[in-house]
Amino acid sequence: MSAPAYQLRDLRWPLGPGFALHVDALDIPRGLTTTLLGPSASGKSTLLSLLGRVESGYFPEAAAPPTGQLVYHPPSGEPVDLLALDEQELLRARLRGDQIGVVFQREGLFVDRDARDNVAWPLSARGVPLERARARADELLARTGLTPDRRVATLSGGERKRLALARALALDPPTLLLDEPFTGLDPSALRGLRDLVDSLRREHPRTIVLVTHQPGDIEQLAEHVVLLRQGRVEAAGPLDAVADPLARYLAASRTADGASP
Amino acid sequence: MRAGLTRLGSEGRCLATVLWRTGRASPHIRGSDLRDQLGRLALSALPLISVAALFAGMVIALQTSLQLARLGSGHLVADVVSVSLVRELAPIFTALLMAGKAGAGLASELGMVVLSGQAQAMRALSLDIDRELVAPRVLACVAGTFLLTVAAILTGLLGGMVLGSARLGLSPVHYLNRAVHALAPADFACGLLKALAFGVLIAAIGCRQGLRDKSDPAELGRHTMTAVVASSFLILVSDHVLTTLIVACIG
Repeated sequence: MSAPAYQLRDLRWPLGPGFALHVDALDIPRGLTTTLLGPSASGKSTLLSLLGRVESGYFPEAAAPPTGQLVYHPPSGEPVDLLALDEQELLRARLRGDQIGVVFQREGLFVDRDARDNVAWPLSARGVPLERARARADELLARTGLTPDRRVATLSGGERKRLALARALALDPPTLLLDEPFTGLDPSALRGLRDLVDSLRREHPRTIVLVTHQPGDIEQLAEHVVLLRQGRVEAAGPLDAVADPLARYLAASRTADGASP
Repeated sequence: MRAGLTRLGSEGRCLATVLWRTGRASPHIRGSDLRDQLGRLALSALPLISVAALFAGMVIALQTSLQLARLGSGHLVADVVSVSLVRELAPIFTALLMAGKAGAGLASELGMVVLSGQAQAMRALSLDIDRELVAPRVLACVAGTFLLTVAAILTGLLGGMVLGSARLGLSPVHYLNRAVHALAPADFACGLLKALAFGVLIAAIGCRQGLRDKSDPAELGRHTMTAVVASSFLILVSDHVLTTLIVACIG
């Protein structure tokens, strides 16, 4: 059996008086789509930001840094404990972007660049000649159904998500972390983007970690599920192994949706 | 009191972090990025600072001539105006205007990068924020403050000359001769060293406030205002400290 993409051991991150992320042991399998589920403020996005090591700001302003082990196993090469690396070591190792692509809930698109240069920048910053970087960007934008010379300000919500996905794919990372990529989209944009993610994982085996609230995402994409509650893992495993807690979570979500005005 | 000192220490560490990381990234920045930032931060402020210094030069010449006339030393106007411009007024004027323009610009521009999630996205793509954003801005702000101070000295002298010629009946050539002869290398060293120090202060505070974590757009406005107020305050306070040090060292 191959090593998991991520191994988390005794991971703790206190984030204030009312909340701490605390994961005793969790494996995220390689080459499968794992969905992180849980009610609001259960720690899904926090955990995802740690998996991508994008949790800190420019200045170390968090009360306490995360502790424990967060081991990433690249498809080739030695496993690396991501928490043991500081920001400069992470920059030098270039795991982020090359090995791990992230699509954020609020996209973080580079607003002073057009769609093409949003995708080409990570490539040109690594020394890829601009012509080749832009050709690769055009290829990815065509794949995601976008026109290269569109300004970011003119993109719709769905198009912004597509551009964020194209940018995350620029360096062809074997691992993709998607933080609620389908939230706030109309049904047609949602279906289109979900199908795009589905086709990406089918044509090329990737480890995908997806934070979502939507049952449709679980039905179409999930192969492995991690259910979080108040910063702790309530259940984790293949879809059929966590069928009961998953059914309870989905029923509670539907009830809450029905109760909301 | 204790909390205030702790906060002050923490802010000092953050400013040092900006400067240290700028120093580390500086050898790797692109010349085109530095040129762009020089244009945005310094060149765009040239008309504002030149006109302000021109009028400042005229006002100082007028005020000085009135006081010197009472002492019977009206012929010393050019000497006094040029020395006070070079040693004190041009660096301070320029720095205060740069704190309002470049300092606010750095804090709001970098603040938007943080608030919109672009900084986090850059981190996720292993794009070096210091190399791409911080170092070109800090270097451009320091170099820009220095160059604009030189421009302010020149236009301030011109303003004094215009006033001297129009109101005091001094010939422009005579005025400039006296102004230039009154200046010693130590005067330039004093003014330009302070200009460099003020540029470092404005850049470090602007970047610090811009790159602070932000949870909502209201914080962007607050941090931008803090950048302007803190740099203006520290420019005035450090001016005294720097002048005392420079006078003690080079006269």
